[in-house]
Amino acid sequence: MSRTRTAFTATVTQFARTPVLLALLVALPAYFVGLLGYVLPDPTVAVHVPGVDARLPLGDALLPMLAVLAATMVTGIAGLFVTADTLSADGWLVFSGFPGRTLFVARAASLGAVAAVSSSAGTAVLFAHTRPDNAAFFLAATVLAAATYGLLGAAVGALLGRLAGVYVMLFAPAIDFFLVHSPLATDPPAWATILPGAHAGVAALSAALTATPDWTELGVAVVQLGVVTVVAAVIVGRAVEE
Amino acid sequence: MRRLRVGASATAKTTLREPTTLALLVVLPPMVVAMYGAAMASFPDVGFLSGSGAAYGRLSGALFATAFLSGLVGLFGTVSAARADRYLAFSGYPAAALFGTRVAVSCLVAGVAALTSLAALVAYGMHVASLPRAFVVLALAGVLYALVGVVVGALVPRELEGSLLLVFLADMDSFLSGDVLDIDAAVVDVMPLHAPHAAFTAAVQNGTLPTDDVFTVVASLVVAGVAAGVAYAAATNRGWSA
Repeated sequence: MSRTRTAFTATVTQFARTPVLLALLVALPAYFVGLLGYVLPDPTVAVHVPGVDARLPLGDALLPMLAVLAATMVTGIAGLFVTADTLSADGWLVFSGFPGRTLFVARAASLGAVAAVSSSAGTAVLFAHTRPDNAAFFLAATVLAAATYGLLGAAVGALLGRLAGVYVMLFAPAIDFFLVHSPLATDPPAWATILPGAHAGVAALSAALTATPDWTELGVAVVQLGVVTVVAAVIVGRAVEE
Repeated sequence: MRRLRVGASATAKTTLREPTTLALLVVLPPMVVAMYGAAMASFPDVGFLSGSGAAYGRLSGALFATAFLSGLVGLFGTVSAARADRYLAFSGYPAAALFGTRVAVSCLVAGVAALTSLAALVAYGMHVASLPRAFVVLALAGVLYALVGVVVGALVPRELEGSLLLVFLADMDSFLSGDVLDIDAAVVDVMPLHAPHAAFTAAVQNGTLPTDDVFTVVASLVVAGVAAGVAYAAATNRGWSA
């Protein structure tokens, strides 16, 4: 346990040593939601989310999804660089006897912290424009979505490296939340059901737009996070051992 | 001139020597074109989206795939060469020649990315009214984003922070520049891809290039080029902090 704490503290200290990065983790989701909330037009649109069949102002319909998107992009890219930046050092640590599983748990925990910070920033600014019907549930689902993408980013970092990884982590959440699982979209393609947006994203939207959030989707999102954690642990673990 | 040629050749070799970069150039843009098309097909043809959602998605996907890939190459090329450029400038290599090599390689990458994106567009059955005009606009959009990437890389010479800034600019751009939503705000007009999107749409659908959009694209390139040159020279002369 103390080894995990040591590795976690080292990772968080690395983040904290870069004030620009800390500022970006908070400022970018806030800027994204805040600016789009300011410029989105007023007309109502038909919303297509399970359990919701209504016409809503465009901002009310889209901003919650954009808050989720912002948090997932920040955490996904953070996950990518946490892996890419520490891969070599972690290889030496494992070589000298430090358990690889302990290192992964510490990195994953630090990504959880990034997910919580970026989700809270986006959700806080969301309140300036529209209030989710169930804010706590919305925040929980957003953190789940962000943590899932953070771990996907970690796996992508081990597989593709920085440049290709950033490209993938730019388009993957955008296609997932902004296009396929947008509240304005109907009949997403069949492959979309495996994306995190199909569960954590829908759970977040249900909490934002209805008084009865979708607990089933939240539960599936938790399971999905578990699966992604195992997959990321295997991929990152192998990369570290190489 | 010889220095510029030697520098550009060295930078191009470094960029293209990476197998992931080559794969990225060839594989990812067509994937983005396909996924944008599939995703946008699930948007109903409501007021803000005239015509086929899939066609609009592919068209936008080709533009964004080209521009963001070039932007990332501009950013990573600037950041990764920071130390070498500092020593080269210190030893008397002109900053203008160093900057010229970055621009030359960015143009090359933008051209290849534009070619693959356009080929994907045609392969998916989209009728392109004027292939040469569509290619020129795509390549110019790529160069524009590459210069934006150089600016970000010169101002924030760290990969994680620079990537976060570029990704959020790119995402805001993809959201606002396509005129999918009827947004009446000045911020839409200053999005880097606003004029390229209009010009590319006209080239694909009608085979024309509207003069005002072309003028805006060229003006944007001049502004971005000057900004990139100034930021690059300032960063090189003061020494990089990375």
